[in-house]
Amino acid sequence: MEKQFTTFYIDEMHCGIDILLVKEINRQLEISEVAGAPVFIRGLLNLRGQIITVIDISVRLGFAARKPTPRSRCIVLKTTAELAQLPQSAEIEEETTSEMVGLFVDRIGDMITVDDREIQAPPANFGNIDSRYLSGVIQREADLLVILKIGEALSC
Amino acid sequence: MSATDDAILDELIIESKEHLEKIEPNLLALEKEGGMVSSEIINTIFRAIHSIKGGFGFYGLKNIQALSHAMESVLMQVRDGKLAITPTMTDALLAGVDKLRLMLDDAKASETCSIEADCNRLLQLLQDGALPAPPVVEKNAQESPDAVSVDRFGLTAEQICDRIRNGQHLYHLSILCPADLGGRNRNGAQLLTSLAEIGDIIAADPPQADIAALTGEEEQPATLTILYATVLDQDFLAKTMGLADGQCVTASIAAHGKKAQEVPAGQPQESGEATAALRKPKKQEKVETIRVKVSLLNNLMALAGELVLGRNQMKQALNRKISSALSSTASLKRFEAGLVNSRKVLHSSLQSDPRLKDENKKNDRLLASVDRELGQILNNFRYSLGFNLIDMPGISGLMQNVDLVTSKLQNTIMNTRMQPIDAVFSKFPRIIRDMAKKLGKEIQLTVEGSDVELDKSVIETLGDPLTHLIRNCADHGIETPEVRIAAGKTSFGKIFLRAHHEAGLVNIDIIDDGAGLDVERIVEKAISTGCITREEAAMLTEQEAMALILTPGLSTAKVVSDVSGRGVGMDVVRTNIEKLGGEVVIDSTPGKGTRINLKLPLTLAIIPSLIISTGGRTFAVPQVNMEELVRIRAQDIDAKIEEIQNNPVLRLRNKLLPLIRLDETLGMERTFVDSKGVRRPDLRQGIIDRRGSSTDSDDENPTETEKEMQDRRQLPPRRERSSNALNILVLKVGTDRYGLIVERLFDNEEIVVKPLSSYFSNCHFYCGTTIMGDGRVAMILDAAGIAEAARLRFTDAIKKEGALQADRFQREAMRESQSLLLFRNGTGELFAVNLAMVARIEKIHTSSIRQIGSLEYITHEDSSMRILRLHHFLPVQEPTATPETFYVIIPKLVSDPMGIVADKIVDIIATSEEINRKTIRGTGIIGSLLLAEGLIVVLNIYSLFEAADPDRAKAEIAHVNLRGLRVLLAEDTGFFRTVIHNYLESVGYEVTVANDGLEAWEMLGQGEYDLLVTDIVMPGLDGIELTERVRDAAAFSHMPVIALTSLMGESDRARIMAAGVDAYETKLDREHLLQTIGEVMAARPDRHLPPAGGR
Repeated sequence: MEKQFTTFYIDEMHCGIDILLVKEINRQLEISEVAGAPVFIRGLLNLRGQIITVIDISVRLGFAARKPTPRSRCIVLKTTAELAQLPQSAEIEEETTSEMVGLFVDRIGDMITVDDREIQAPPANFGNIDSRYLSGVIQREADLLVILKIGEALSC
Repeated sequence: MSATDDAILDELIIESKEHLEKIEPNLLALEKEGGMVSSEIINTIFRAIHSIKGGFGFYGLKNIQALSHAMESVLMQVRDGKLAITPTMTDALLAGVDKLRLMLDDAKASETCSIEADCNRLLQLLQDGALPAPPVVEKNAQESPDAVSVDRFGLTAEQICDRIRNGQHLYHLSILCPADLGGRNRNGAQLLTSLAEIGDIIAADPPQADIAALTGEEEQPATLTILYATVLDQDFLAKTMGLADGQCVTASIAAHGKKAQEVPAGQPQESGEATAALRKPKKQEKVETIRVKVSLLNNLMALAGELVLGRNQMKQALNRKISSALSSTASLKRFEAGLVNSRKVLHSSLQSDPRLKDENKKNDRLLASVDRELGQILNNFRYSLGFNLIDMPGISGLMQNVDLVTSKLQNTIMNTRMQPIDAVFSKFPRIIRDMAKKLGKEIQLTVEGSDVELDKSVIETLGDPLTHLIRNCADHGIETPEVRIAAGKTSFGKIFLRAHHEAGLVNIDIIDDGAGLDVERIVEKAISTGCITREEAAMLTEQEAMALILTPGLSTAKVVSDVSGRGVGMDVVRTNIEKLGGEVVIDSTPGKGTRINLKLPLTLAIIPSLIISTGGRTFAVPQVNMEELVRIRAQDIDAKIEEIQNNPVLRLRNKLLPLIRLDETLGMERTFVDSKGVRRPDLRQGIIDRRGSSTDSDDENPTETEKEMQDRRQLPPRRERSSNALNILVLKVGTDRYGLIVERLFDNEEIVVKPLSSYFSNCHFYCGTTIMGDGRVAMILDAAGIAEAARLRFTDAIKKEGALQADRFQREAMRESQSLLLFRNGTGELFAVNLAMVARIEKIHTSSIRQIGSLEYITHEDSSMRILRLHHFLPVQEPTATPETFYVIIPKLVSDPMGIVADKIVDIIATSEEINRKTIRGTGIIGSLLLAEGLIVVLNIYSLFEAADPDRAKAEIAHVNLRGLRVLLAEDTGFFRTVIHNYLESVGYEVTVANDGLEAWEMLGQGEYDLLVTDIVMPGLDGIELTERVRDAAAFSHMPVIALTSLMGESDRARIMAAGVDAYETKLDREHLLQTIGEVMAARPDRHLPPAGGR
């Protein structure tokens, strides 16, 4: 079965999440930092009146915090309630959170369609990422696409 | 069960719960009325229980059905007068209501719930109280002799009775087939369904199965007779079913002879009362309501919040635009001026250029075209600017309108969430009743203002704390009838529960006329549990002492009852109320009762807040937490802020306030904005650490010229400039206060509170988020959380040491307040009297002096007053000249004062210098002071007057025949010590002085004294504690104690007297003090009087 992934880069690592989990991709990055918040929290973003917690997914995966650049983006994810509204036919294995969350990434990559048979189990200890956060990898001509288990990475 | 069924069940549960709400107060009312059974009330209860029974029977939830059936049976007997209402019955029914409520909470699990006990209890009632009573509706049968027989259905009256629910009317329907079926587009089955929807079919002829089979199109006319029970009125039923009047007849059951009868339509078949009861609720249902999901309302609220936000942003944008337009106008003017100028230059240069002289005409044309071009440019520019400006007024108006509508919209939506507080209040009659029974008390609860509305979320949170307070009232507040009667009160205690609006807040008062709070026991308990120390306890006001009851771990109930008094609760009450942004105030009079006042905001969603910033980040501080704002100028920081154990404290009105830096607490880098507007890290270690400005300017601008450097040096040090002032928010957490240092203060704003993301669950210093006018997200600070995060413990060393410091400070202040009035007496000598002893200063002309013998008198306040010239009594120089006018200093705190002549009033000075008693001595002199003004002789007015009038002193001594009285004087302030010492000695007492309370206590053990005279405010051991120790010690418990005080408020007075002093007197009031000593000693004839020194 074919699956579509929204891909993005964290420190040149090509990552992907199920496109159905994505609500929108935002380039407005006026993020208010919150003193005293956990390190992986980048801050809060006002998205048309809704407050979104922006997660520095890089920190969560064990890398350094990202520096904002003109290509930085915020991937806003659907909430669990929004996912529940998707038609039954959409098979989603992932979970998100009950509140609005955004992922802070270096830049956005292509939308990629692959057959789910191409997804391989992640090698143990892949790139020093906690294997809890990995769902699989896809071997591609140019690079390796890392599919994240985003629900796991978002749980506090 | 399908989803639709679930939805219906949910609906049913909600409805049933509402029914239960109605049942409870009615049951209580029923109990109150006792024997006088009001059928109206019974019917209401009956209907409610019945609907529950019917509804759940349909869903096959047998437990609910069975229990409600049992209750219904009992009620039926009551209604029919077969059973009398007893408290046992009310108990059983209320228990049933409780059980039903429990089962409704989880209807699907209700089958697993045991209801046997409840049912048995109810059935027992039936058996015990069952009397052979007249059948149900005998009355009706007599009233309607011509009722139509319903025998044809072959039912007995009992059978019919069994099937009719209370409140239902019985009708005899004659339905024509096909006219009423096919003619109205329905078949037999549909008819039965619609009938079943609004009532019960008791019996039918032909049987229901046959009717159901009718298509409604049958050729053969037939009449269907149905015995039908419904709560509907006859007219309404007929209309609903599409029947003519005659087809629908009220039926009545004749109990005797087992036959049923019909009565013609329109005649009431039940007692008038019952019918009235049926109709009454219908009127109440007139208010149109609609059930809306709370989540929907929440969404609406959120949207309205966003709208408010949008409006705020728009307003800001508009303001920016207006200001930019204004600055454009200014630049237009500059531009115009520039053009005119360039044109001039162009003209003159064209005309002055010799090469162009010949071509004047051409030039003129050129100039003209340049002018035209310039004019055009100017016009275009004006136009574009004007366009900007012209549009503005309209927009402002629109904006105002949007503003208004938005606010109204928000308010209206907020109102949808408002619920009457009755939702909480209605629980209390029951609670009070149960408790009164259990505790053997009589309690009358009066509820007022149950229609006051509050936000749903507030109401939900309010339930528990309020219940707790009410229970407390009943348990601890109201005494048992015996105690009450003994105290001369009514046997029943009154609890008054009232809600009302005041100053934008909802106030809830819980007032009882019970025993009141035992403040002493509360304080005692607080001390024994270590909440406060004895020293702290002594400093508490009555209010503060009462507020102790709100601290965790305090319960003053002598017996821990199962009702309350487990030592938890009151603090939970406070926490809950404060969580709502409210406040708890306790006021109590022993023996009279207690009044607890809760102040609550109407809603939680929008709160007024102060916007502040620190480290470039914006925060909102809810106004409810704010006490005041303090700004400390840079140059005052050293004086006002000090450090105790490395913790900065602010001295605010003699109280020490612990200070917290917001940036530090939040773990932010400490920064400051330098003179160039650049944010730089702050290197100082503490608030009062000032590093020289040179260290931080080193790398700032190495290319600065020498002159600039000089300029900088001439500026005050950077930290003393106004921007370095400290902004301190004084925040309250319960009864504690602390200061939060922030960088900048902005406006007060109404902010829309948005919940905090769960990622921040460990950040206790925030209680929510909000979106500011500029669209940025700001955190809302939680005063309690910050105090906690900064590990601020109010009862620890800081507070204790703070109290001591404050005390020391007060003493210093008092010493400073030893103001002296300096004057001269026509010579170079300087004299001083304590300003506290000066009533006034009069300017007198020599001519107004009257001489009587050798004495001089003036007229002062309509009576004559002797005046003294110092050189007559003191070893001082005689004035060289006698001026025409001079001053008379009139002392106070002495009886029959004499005026002291002065020729020049020099100054009033404040000094804390100790008076030197050695250098200059003599009658009428305390000592000397060497100050900047020179050597000053400080006068002792008492001994001066005695010297001037020896008889007066004698008279006094004669009055108090206590010469040789051994007095221990405890006074820490040197000046007062000397003065009081002097005047006690002057009347012949033996005076021993102690420099403070502790010393006095030690001296008491060493020597023998007849009287203790003590100051109140002293370091270490204050006068009150000293007195308490004296009273507690067996050896001195009878020693008379007189307290001296300089400041006296009503509360001080009470505290002083409570400590056990015999009397208190104002310092420096010699006459009164001596008199008081006389009185106190006289009142203790048992005291062994000192050896009388003469008389």
